[in-house]
Amino acid sequence: MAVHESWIGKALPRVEDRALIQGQGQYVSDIRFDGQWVMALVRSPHAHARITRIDTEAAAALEGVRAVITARDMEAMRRGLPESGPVAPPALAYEEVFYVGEPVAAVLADNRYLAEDGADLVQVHYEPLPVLTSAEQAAKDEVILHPSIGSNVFDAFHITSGDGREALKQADHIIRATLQMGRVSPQPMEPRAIAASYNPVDQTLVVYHATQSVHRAQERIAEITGLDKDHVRVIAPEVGGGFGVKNGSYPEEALVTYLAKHFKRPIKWAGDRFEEFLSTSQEREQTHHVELGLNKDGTIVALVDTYYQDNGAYPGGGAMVSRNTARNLPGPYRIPHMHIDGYTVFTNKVMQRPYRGAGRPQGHYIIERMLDRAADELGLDRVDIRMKNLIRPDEFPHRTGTDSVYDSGDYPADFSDLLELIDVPAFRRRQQEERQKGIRLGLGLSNCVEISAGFGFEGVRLTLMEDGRVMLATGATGQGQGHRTALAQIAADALQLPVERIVVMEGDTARIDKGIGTFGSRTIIMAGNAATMASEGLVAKAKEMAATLLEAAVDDVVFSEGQFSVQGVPSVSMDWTALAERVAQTGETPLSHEDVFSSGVATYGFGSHAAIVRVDEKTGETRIERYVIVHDTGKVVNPLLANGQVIGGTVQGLGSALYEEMIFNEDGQPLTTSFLDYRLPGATESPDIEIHHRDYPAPGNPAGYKGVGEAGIIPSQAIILSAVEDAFNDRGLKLDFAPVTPARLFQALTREETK
Amino acid sequence: MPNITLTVNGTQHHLDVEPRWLLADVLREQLNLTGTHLGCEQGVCGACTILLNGRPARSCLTLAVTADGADIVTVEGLAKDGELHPVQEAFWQEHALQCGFCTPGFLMTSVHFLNENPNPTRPEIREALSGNLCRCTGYQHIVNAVERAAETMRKGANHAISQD
Amino acid sequence: MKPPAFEYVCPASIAEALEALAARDDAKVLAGGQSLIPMMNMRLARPGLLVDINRVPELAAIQDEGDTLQIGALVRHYQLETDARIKEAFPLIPAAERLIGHPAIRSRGTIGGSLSHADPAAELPVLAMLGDWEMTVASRDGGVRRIPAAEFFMSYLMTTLGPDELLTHVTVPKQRTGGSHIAEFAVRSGDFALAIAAAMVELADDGSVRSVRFALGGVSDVPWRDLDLESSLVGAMSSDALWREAGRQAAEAIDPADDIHASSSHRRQLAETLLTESLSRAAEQARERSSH
Repeated sequence: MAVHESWIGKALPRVEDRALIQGQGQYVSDIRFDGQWVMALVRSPHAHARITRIDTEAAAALEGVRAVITARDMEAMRRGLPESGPVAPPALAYEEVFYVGEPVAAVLADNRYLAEDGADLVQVHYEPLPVLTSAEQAAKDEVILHPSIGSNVFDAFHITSGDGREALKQADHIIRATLQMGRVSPQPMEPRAIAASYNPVDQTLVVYHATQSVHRAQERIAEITGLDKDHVRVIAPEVGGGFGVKNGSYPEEALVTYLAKHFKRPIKWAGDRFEEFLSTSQEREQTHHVELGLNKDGTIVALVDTYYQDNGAYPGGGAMVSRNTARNLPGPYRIPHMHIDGYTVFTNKVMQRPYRGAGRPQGHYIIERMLDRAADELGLDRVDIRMKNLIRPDEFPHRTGTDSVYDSGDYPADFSDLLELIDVPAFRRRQQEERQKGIRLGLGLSNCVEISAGFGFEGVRLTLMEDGRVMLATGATGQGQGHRTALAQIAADALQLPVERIVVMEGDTARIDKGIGTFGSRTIIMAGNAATMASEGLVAKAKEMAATLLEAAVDDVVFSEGQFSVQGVPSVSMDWTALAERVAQTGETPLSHEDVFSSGVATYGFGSHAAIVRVDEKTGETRIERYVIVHDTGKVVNPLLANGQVIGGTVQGLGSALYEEMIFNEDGQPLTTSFLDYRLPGATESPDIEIHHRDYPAPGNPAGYKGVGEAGIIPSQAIILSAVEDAFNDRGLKLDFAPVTPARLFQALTREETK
Repeated sequence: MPNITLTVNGTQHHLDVEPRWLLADVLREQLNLTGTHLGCEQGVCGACTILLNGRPARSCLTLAVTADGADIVTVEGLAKDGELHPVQEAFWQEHALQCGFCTPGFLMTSVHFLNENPNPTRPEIREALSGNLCRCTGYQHIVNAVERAAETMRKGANHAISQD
Repeated sequence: MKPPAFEYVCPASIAEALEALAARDDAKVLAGGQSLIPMMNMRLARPGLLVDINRVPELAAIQDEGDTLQIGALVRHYQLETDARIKEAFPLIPAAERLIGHPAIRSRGTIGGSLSHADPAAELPVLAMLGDWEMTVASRDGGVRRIPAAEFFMSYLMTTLGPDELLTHVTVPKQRTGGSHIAEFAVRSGDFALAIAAAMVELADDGSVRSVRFALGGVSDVPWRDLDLESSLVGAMSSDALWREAGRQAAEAIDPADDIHASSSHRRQLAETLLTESLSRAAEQARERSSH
């Protein structure tokens, strides 16, 4: 068989789709254990309150309700969740609740209807406590939420590069602004879900989990249940989107797994949309006080930024977002001097934890918006100020001063290409013409570096199956990215097999011992390189086997065109299938090889984005007319999937630029807890995105892969605010809050007009 | 418990249902047709869209008991004898799905839409899909897929899903 | 999100339905369910008895009565969108339908459900007010009464319908002449509108206003209409300036509430913009019709 064409680089439709388009994909909510109990939760209606009494009798007496659990009657429920940072939330609140939606009691019943009936009947008595809804207010520590830490500021850091703040004195101009991002609720289409079944005979727990990392979940669940890790099997079946929020520890994980073992009953919780709004982690909410120092010609001298992240009631991984914001503040620009003070602060909201982008959008939002503002104040063009400060290829490796070493690409060339595609002079003419007719068009521009991976490892185990196909197992659990296709393409090339002969198994701790998971656009970089390494290892083992079978010395065995043959005797050869058959006949264990790729070197993708918007100043509506991206994806495994990631990320970002904002009232009540009030962009609001590739392989890993999952979402908020301002550049409109919803634009325009 | 009759994907079922059970739950739990997904239970996301007597409907906003006697098509009923419906085939070829959770609803909406409007423009497709939310794809590839399916269906045989 | 338990009846006639409604005071009518079921799923509505009227054929009829069209309460949105008799009698109905929700919502939702739900930001209540529709309601003990739209809507999500009453049909006076238009602003396609403006205009041969009516949605607790303002425009020459002024005066007369989606002044500006647009377009259409 002629197999050795390159699968890498092919726009291959996905192998996972045949099941999904026929409704055969199995998600956690589709799992049904015999005799299972279904869980519903009683959640706090208060943002901050003391629990004075819980009455569960009526609920427990209801037919079909099997148990009602509170932290008062089950001490284990008070324990802090694993992997939770300096203040761990309990599975169920014991004395105090810290956000609306915090679980207070669990009801187990025969089905979800009955469980909700039970939850209705649980009466919790509360004594309201003072509520903190603003990070800057909370940072004053007038009310301290978690006395064990002694301050609401649970993470503070200070970064100085070059001469730091001092360098502002060297600047001709200092531009000052306070810029904010509202809270975003990530909202994967599948709400969080988990189901667990315990076998008391062999003391094993099988957990179906909508998680982004089965191995880290396995460790947490072992800790929660007290079982040995190898007695806990975690399977992530189809996962309906993750975007970061299915990556961490949650009370429901502890409840379902602990209670399944405790009651020796399968237990399932499939969260609903309301719960997704109340209890799943959120992101983006920060307030920055920024100073940007520049020379007369627009060259950046120094950036000084003090910011506060409203992290909600618990730390989670929130400090990582705050710190990653700092790392991303320079964007693709040369900033010789910086001083950054970042404060991550408790408030009475659901916690903030990494969401797609995780600090990258925030950092870029600040630098891009400050460049716009600087250009406007210095009388420079918004294009020119960017070109002047973009890092040039001859400066690589470039140290940013915030712990990154940019290594590849050609930022000015990509940006120039973008400007040409947009034809900025032609746009400016059209903008003027349309403005005469009362139509406001605006152009937004933004550049971004996508920093991916750069820590940890990921493994791949390859096994030659009896029928000659190769099973590829990895701990990097996908949530729709198409790993089963992309990793198969990579292994197919290395094993010289048709891609359909590779069967990828992801998300099952029984298939591979170790793994980190899928987040931060790391899987193709980490598991992709591991797949190549494991393939090489498997080929080496196969050669040894072939040497025995072909009665030749290993060094004489040649692997070419998918055939193992003896040097100089090409007529005698065997392929993977023949090898597998012989292994099976001899009764030996199947050929298998596992390898791990570890790397501390991040990858640095790049994108230049342009958006043309049409703004209706009467209604406050912003529509996107055109959206163009010039993108460096590194070595591309599957352009169909890569573009899917970029387009999907971009549209998700447009949501947080134009529509999506979690609004809380002063009592900490979330007011946008449905898809009616919290608006995801729909098909009508979303533009067609033009993507132009300028791909530079990453020098930091053998295959040259770069991350692509965050690429689209990084510049969204910056670029849309930039474009809307540009539509009103004759009136000097300044926007300092994302998203720019119709309501907020109306506010900004009328405030500006009444001045 | 009321007893109802549903014809689902051509097969007739007699079922005992509690009046409060949502049609989506009955399809999923009693008939094991888990391709119909519950995304919001408020009628906004469209993941649970099915064809009810030939028209798209939210199975999360329909009580099973009120659907007594109805003819229902779910995503499981689109392929015939192992052959994918052109809309399914187009979703596959155009990479119109990532996590796949919203996909059944998009497929059912698109099948009905193309039966009514075999030669749509891109804006018409976007409008037709506006009642279905997708968080992964950004919609562009879905619109491509519906365009492609329209072309296939115009060229090809009759792919009308059996109704009435 | 699952509905709490309830009793269920599925009457085959109006009489049976009325009997059921009269039997207990926590009964609710189930029509298309597109507003009621979400509220039950969220357990914000907890009816003790659901009276499912989906199998009452009398309620699903559309009848031409000469000067009016009678539309049964169970006529669904997609029928309102596509039925030729409706388009002929009141072209704003299909125009509004295209703005309502999404195809799957329009498959199930009904005219009766929409009107008795009485969301002031919904399209059909605005048209009912604009077109002086009459709601016919029946009850076991009270017989039949006909309620003009102006008296039907009481407040946000509240009508004069009693708990034992059933809206059986809507009488829509036919629009014989002139032009009409409906405009709205929703943040996304199919969302509840932040504001709606609908208008009907008849012009005399000289281009002066013979009659004009307009209604706004989303700006008060019931669909808004101002008869004095309407009559002040009669006799004036139709012009963009006239309609701009009408829009301005209407915006001054309303007092919308603030909410998270739009401030009062934003809604006022939306109302002015949309009403000016609707009046101008309706007048334009009236002019075109009379010149043919």
